[in-house]
Amino acid sequence: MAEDFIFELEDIHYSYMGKYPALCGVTIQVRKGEKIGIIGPNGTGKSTLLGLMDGLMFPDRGSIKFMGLSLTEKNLNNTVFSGNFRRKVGFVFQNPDIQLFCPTVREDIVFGPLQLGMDKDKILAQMDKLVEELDIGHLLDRAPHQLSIGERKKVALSSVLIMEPEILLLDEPTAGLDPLTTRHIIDILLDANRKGATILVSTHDLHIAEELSNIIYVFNYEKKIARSGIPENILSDQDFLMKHNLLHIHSHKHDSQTHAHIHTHVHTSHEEHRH
Amino acid sequence: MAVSGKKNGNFIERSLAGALSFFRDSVFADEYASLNGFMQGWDPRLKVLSILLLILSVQFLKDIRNISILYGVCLLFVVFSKINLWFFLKRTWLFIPLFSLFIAIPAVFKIVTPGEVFYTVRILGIELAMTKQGAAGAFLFVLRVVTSVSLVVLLMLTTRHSELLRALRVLGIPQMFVMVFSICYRYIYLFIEIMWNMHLAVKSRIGTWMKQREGRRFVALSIANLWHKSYQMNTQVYDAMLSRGYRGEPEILYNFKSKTGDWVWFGIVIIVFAGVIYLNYFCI
Repeated sequence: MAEDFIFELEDIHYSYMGKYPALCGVTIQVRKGEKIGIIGPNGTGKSTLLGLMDGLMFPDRGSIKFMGLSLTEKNLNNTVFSGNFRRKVGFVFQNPDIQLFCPTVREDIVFGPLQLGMDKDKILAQMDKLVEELDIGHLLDRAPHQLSIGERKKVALSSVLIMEPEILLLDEPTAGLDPLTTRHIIDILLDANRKGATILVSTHDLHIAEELSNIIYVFNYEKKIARSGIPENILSDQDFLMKHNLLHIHSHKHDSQTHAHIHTHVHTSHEEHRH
Repeated sequence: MAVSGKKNGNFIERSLAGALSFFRDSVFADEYASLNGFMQGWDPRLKVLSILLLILSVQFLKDIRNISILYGVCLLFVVFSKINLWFFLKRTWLFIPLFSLFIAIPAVFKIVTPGEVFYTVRILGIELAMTKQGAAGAFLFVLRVVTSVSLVVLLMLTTRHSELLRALRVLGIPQMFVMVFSICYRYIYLFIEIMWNMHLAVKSRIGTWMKQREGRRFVALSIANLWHKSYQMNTQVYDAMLSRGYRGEPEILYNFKSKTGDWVWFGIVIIVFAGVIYLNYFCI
């Protein structure tokens, strides 16, 4: 049934300046509560797809529906539709320096709800709760340029989470982060999903793809979906991953011998880990 | 930061380092605003209005002693606000007061200000007499400038820059301007950092020394590159604003709270200002 879908993208084509294709015939359907991973090497249109889904740009061909209604420029100019859409869809940009445009962290976090006309006391109460969860209370009066990349990513995430969106679009949420901060961010996203949020994560890092997805869409250099399916099937197909530049090859030393092997991203049982 | 011995070839490094150090100082100055000092806790809106009234009072005052008292009070506030006095004096006496001193010097001489001569100097065989009236006028001018500059610097050091921008709304500055200033303030640091990193990237490839001509070329290319980056970023930042519900009329958080102490202070400033006006117009 169509009303089950939050997003329905049908045969989406998009090109930059009309001559540089970024997406060529993409069809995706997103159901409530799903965790969707968009993976693919650099330059395959992952960020463009998220921009289109956030109504920041519009396809050259094809259609995007949000909860059954067309996501068009005309509809987004409608205050009611736009307010409803912005309240429900949160987009975390890849570069936190773009997302954090206010002089202090506090102002950045409350920017979204203030624009959406939420009650100020409720916003401040929500902020207090959120900063405690994300452990960023000590950063509130600091300027974004004084933060580390991990702190910036957390603040960028909190600036979206404060709106309690039903759908979270995340563009490379853990790129360039240390392992512990990556873990923390994954946990926050999984928690949001458990509370009912639908998650769409664009990444080329397969380490997080398995954990943050029920369904994976793999994009290729033809700017199309090469394959979609459950993570176990896709991440175990090494020939397919190799063909699409998605395989991690580790090289390390055993005694004096350098040895390289493919790093699989499929979850193995704890029994296997013991060996 | 390593500075090459060849001074002429290093104008880029010196300019960039100067700009960077200015902004670092500004960050350092913002740290003063977070101290638990005398003026830091005041409501920024009342603080802006108070300082504005005090600056106006300084302009109305004609007696050097009265202005000196106000300057002394300002320095006392500096100390009570836990600001390093030497740092404050360096900030306030640099450029503007010194520049105004040079402007005021001709007024000391009898040719400009006739009056009672107290000293005569001979420059290039020409005798120049200094008058008491001229010296007093020049001193009054410099004192006014330094007191006004000190009050503004005191306001800036004891108020977070972001709060100061928002507090400007009490002066009737439109929300849109406050928003634009805030965004400029946020991104200027980022661009300075990008510029500095670009310089380091060039330096790591060609060494520390650059011919003047190459240097100018580098600066021109950097400006073009930075313009391009800022243009790209401008679109992306706008998208990020749209994505969070911005619709052309920004809403900004004004969570200022004024305490009784703030109103007492503001009341005192109003009394001082009224007193100055009274002295000026009714006690001559």
